[in-house]
This record gives sequence, structure tokens and C-alpha cells, in this order.
Amino acid sequence: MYEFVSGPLALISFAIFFIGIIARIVLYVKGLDWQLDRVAYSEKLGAGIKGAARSLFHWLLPLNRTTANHPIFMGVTYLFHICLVIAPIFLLAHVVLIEESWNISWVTLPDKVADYMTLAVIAAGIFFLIRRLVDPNVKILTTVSDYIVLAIALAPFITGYIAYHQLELGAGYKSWLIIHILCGEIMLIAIPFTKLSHFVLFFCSRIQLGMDYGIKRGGAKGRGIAW
Amino acid sequence: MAQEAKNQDLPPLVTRKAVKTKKELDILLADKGIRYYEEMEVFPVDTAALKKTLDATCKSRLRTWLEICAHCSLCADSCFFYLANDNDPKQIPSYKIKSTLGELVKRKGNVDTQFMINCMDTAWGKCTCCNRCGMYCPHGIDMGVMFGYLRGLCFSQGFVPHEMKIGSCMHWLYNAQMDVTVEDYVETCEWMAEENEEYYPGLEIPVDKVGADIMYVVNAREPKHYPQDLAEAAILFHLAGESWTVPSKGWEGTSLAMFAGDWACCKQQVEGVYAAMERLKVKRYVGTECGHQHRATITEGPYWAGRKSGEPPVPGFHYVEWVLEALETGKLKLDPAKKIKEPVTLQDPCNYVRNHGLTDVTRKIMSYIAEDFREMSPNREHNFCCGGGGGMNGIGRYRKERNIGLKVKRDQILATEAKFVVSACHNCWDAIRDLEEVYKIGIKWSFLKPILLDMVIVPDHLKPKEE
Amino acid sequence: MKKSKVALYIAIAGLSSLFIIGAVYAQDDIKSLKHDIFVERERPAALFPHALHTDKAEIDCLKCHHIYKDGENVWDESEESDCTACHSLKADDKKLPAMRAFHANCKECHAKEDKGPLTCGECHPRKK
Repeated sequence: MYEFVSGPLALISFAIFFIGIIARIVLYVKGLDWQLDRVAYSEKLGAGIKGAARSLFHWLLPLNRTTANHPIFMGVTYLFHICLVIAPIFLLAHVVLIEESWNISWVTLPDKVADYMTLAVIAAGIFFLIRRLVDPNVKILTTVSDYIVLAIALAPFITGYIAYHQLELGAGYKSWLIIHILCGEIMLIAIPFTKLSHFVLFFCSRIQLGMDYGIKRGGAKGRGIAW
Repeated sequence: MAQEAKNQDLPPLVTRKAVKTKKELDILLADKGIRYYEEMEVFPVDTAALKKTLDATCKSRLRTWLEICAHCSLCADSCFFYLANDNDPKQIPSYKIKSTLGELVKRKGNVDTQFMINCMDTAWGKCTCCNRCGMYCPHGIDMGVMFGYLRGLCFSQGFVPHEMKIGSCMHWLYNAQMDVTVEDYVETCEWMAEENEEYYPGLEIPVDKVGADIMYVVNAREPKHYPQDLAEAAILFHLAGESWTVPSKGWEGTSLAMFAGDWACCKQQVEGVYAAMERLKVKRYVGTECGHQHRATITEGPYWAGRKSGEPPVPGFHYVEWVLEALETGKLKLDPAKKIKEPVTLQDPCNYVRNHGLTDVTRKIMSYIAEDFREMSPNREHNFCCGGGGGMNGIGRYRKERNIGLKVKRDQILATEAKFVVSACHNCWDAIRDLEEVYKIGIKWSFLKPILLDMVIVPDHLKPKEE
Repeated sequence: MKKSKVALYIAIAGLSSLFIIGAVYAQDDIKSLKHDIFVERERPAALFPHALHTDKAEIDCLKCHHIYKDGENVWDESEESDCTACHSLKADDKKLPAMRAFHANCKECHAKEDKGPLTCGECHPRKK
């Protein structure tokens, strides 16, 4: 079982993930229409790129009004996303497995750091969950799929924590490890097909709106508006 | 029974097609919206057409926005309707678009009449397309853009507020938002020039002067209701020594069609203005103190007209840009002694600030005209909509909602402790006037032109000759 | 009577010597791959019951121990048997870095023979 989930299944998941996200980007760009969107994307590419860069800069870093207005939520969100992306990619055990399979490797995090990052992801996830259940503003927007997506995103971290620390928890180390790998694969496969597609579509959307503002809504005039 | 029978004899008011004839317009105008909304209650949705439109026009940008919305509610307090309605979750921009356009897309257009009426009531009654929410969404989702799109869908199905239907019809018939013909307009220009020539010798309102530097385009309200505004513009151009003209055909720059979501009409309207630019071979366009005119003619217009560059045929400027240029280059000189002494604040119109980046121009003008300028908070591109944008001021059906929404602007103004609001936008001007009428907070409001005219120093050679 | 007593003594002596030999042997057996070059360990040293591989599984020494000369494994018991004497932390020449050498040596064989653990935690268990 371990060999299957960590071998062919992992390969399939990565393939679906990579092909899926590339397809999402390609379809997104193909679906842009200068006249329908009312943005002269290609005619004013330079202004567009400037606007896109400004938009990404202000939102990838906490240099925006939303962070100023909602520091706690945005702080947790930034932490959640940074840890969620960094921890698994630079986790020693993951890099070792990739190196042994494909002979490529990169720098790794000390396990202790990755461990704290995992806890941060889980804690942030619980914060999001509670917020969804309690805050009337979020409650009215929440659908079942929001919970499912949150679960898909958190599961690899919770099970990863259990497996790394070799906690028994009714199943034992090897079962938890297999569950962990499966959860990771479910997440990879889910990314192109669910709201998790914001993994790439966030960038598409931000770049598009940045171009809109850079090209049309004031990019050419004034000091430029950041979003 | 008698009433029903009577209704059956009358031509229908609610139609999926834009109204383009005088006869139909007169019937619409006579109705005042009563039979109109009754008819709408039972007006069927053409779901096949709706699906076809969605397939053809709802592309990746909109679909992605709908899909990746994280339902985080961070857009909530960006919306003045949410704030004005005591943080009602049903006023969260995300909720408003998700329950309307989101559902419409999900159901592939398979919706009923009540659903479409709800879409209409949301797209026009709970959103002014001020685009503020888009600036606060971490995912870069601009719900104002989506509501603009939804308005188009609603219009194509006949679910459009009465006044908006009329507005688009006016543009089809008169190429203006009101029933002002080219002849009416030219006459008004002549009248205003004559009226003021006595005080400003040599004053003229040159109509269709080929090769002028500036083509000045107005809002139909000005010739129709405030012709003095046209005179003020003429005097200021005259004093600044500008080479300018107004077009006969293509004289009007606003577009209620944009608020109505009648895109074909938007195209016709703006092409009229562009044709005038080309016909008169002017160097640039200056539009009057109107927000949505600037957006319709300069910002969005090129796209409706199919101009790939996204630019009008000649560079387009808002009136405030011309004013600042005239002040900075000394074409217009103001008497510093006449600066406004009392505290004064400034309304930033969404349509040329948030949607065209003119964030600092008006502030620089304020430094010439006001001694005690007080910023609203928030301001510039973060400013709240006046409360009457997107056509809202003119729609009777949403008057109650509009008046509630005005509370945010009221409180912003009150916080500055200024009693004087400068507003270089017709919609904002109206909203602030109505705000005073509803809430009576003791404020005055003004366009820039009268203020400038009060302060401007008339060069000696332009003064009337003493006799 | 006397004969049986002698036999009993012999039997006791024999059994005890077996225990002693066993004890001595056990002390020499390698249980884990604790090497000093791994200064900052992320995980506990891997378990490695040497005897299990040699005596029970009867794996040829040369399967693991190796010194290659002209493409031939010339290792014998007189040669170096500390893996980390050749395999250092970082890769050098054609030699794998120590961790990869261990992982490759153990896991590839485990996978091929379908015997022995493959997962991280089975070789690097945490002390309970």
C-alpha cells in the first residue's frame, strides 16, 4: 500500500496537479477578451505589466488597506498561506523522497521549523473554521464546499503532524503515513478542480485587475492606484 | 376586471428590446413606473436567450471571480450600503453578487421572473457600481464590474428599472440622456453667449469650429436645467484664452445607457461623440464636471466603439484636469483674497478618481481656492460613493434604499466639520443636495465653475469697455 | 550416579557458556546506524540489526560493503567497514553523500526483495 500511494499514485497526482494548473492558466488567459473585459491588454502591455506588478507587490506583501483594516484576519491569512506553501515544499522528508526518485533536490527546512509551521497551518485553519461558524458575515457566505475545501487543505498537515511524531492514535504509524500521503494527493488533485485553484487563479485575477487599473483605470494618469 | 381589460389594450411596457421610438417613449414616460413594474411581475424570462448570452459573454474573468471567491467577507465593510444598513450581512458585496449573477451562472440562465426581479433590485438598488469593493478583495475580485455585467443581462431580459429604460431610450432617440435635440442645444449655446456677452465682450460659444484645440462636451442636464453652467464654462474658456468649440452633433457625453446596461446604445452614444472629435479635428476633448460622462466617453467608451487602443480618437480630459492646467500655467488667475475662508471639503467621484486615477488633481485645485481644506476620510480612491451613483439618484423604486445609503456620505462630511462641499460631478452633486434635503445637516455644495468664476481675475483687455 | 552428576555439570557448563557466548556476541552486534558525522540529526539514527541481515537473512557482505576497483567490488573483512569513512555528509567525486547512500542501500534492497521497512518512521522510530 505504501509503495502504491508513494509511487504510482503520487506520480498520477503530480501529473494531474501540474497539467491541471497549467490548463487553468491557459484557459484563463484564452478567456480574456479585450473588448468584453474592456481592457486593452495587448495594445498597452507595458502599462498593463506595470499595473500587474504593482497589484502583486501590494497584495503578496501586506501593503494594502485590507490588511490595515483587518490586521488579525489578514495576519493569520498570510501566515497560513506562507506556511502552507513553504513547509511541504522544503520539508526534509519530502525533498529526500523527491531526490531519491528524480535526482533533484533543494534546500530544506530544519524539521523543528517545519513542525511549527505545520502547527501554524492547523491553528490558522481552526481559526478559519471557527470564524465560518461564528461570524454572521462569513456564515451567510459559507457553503458546504467551503468546509470541504478547508478540510482538504488541512488534512495533509494534521495527518503529517501525526505521522511525523509517530503518534499511535488508533491506527499506528504506518497507517497514518499512508493516510497522510493520500491526503496530500487528494489536495494536489483537488487544486485544479476546486476553489483551491486560487493557487494559480489568484495570480491570474490579481494580474488581470492590476492590468485593468494600469491600462484603463488611472494607470496612465495620476500616481497610479494599487490593487 | 376593468383594469385588466384596459391593460390588455395597451402596448406592453416591459420588453426585452430597447425602446427606440418617440411613441413608445411617451407611453413609458406617462406610466410613471406603476403598470411597468406590475407587468414585470409576470414577464417571462427567455432562458434560452439568457443562456446564449452567458455562453457568449461570461468569460474567464467573471467566471474565475465567481469561482475563487473565498467567502471571506473582507469586502463587507468596503461597501457603503453594508455600513449604512447597520452591517447587514445581506449587503455584503460578495453575497449580493453570489446570490444573483453567481446563481444565474450556476443555473446556466435557467431562472424565473422573481429571480430576475431580485437581480434587478440588487444590481440597481444595492450597488452603484462604484467599484470600491474590488479594491479591498485580496483575490482582486471587482464586484462592481460584475454588477455592471449583470445589469446588461437584466436589460437584455427587460428587467430594468423604469427610469433606466427611459434613459437608454433617450439616448437612442436624442443621443442624449434627455429630450434635448441638436437644435435645442445649439440654441441654448447661442442664448447663453448672447446673455453674457455684455459682461464679457467677445464671449462666444463656438459651435462646430473645425480645428479648435478643445472640444467641450456637456451633460444634457446643463442645457436642459442649468444653462448657466454652459455660460460659466464658456466664460472660463474665454478668460483663459482657449481655442475651443462645442459640437452640434455629438454634443452630449453622458450615458444613462451605461447605467442601464444597454451596451448597443452605449456604442451608438459614444460613437456620436467620437465622430464629432474627428469631424472637428480638435486636439483634445474636455468633458464637463460629470463623473459618469468621463467614464462613459473616455474610459469605457473606446471599448464599446471597438477601439483596440482603449483610447478615444483624441486625448480625453475631465474638466478638473483642464482647470488645474489653466491654474498652473496661469491661463486662469484667481484672486487669492477671494479664497474660500470657511472650512471646505471635497467629494471624490468614483468614476474619474477610482476609475481613472485623478486622485490629486482636485486636491491641487483646492489649494488654489480654499484656505481651510478638509479631507474626508477615507479619501481619494478609497472614498465612498456619494450614495447616488450608477443611476441610483434617478430611480424612484430605490429611493428609500438610496436615502439610507446617503448616511455614510453624511457622516463623512460631518466628520470634516466643513459646511461646504465641492463636487465636480453631477451625480455626487445631486446626492449631496438630496442628502441635505433628507438629513438637513446645514451644508452647501457647489460645482467648481461657479467658485472659479467668483475668484477669477478678468484680464484688462477682456473687461467690458467703460462708456 | 557419579556419571549422571558429571553429565549434569557438563550440561550446565555448556548451557552457561552458550549464554556467555551469546552475550558476548550480542554486544558486538550492530543495532543502529549511529554515525558521528551526522551532527545535527533531524531524526533518530536508523535502526539496523546487522545480525538480522547477515545471519538470518544470509545476505552477502558484499551486497552492502563495497570498495570498487576497476568496477569490481574488492571489499573484504580486513578493509574499512565504517560507511562514513568514505561517504561524507556532502557528495564528493562519484560517491553518494552518506544519507543518500544509506537510504539507497537499505530502501532499494527492501523494495526489491519486498522485505524490510520502507517508510521513514519504521527505520527512524521515535523513542516512546
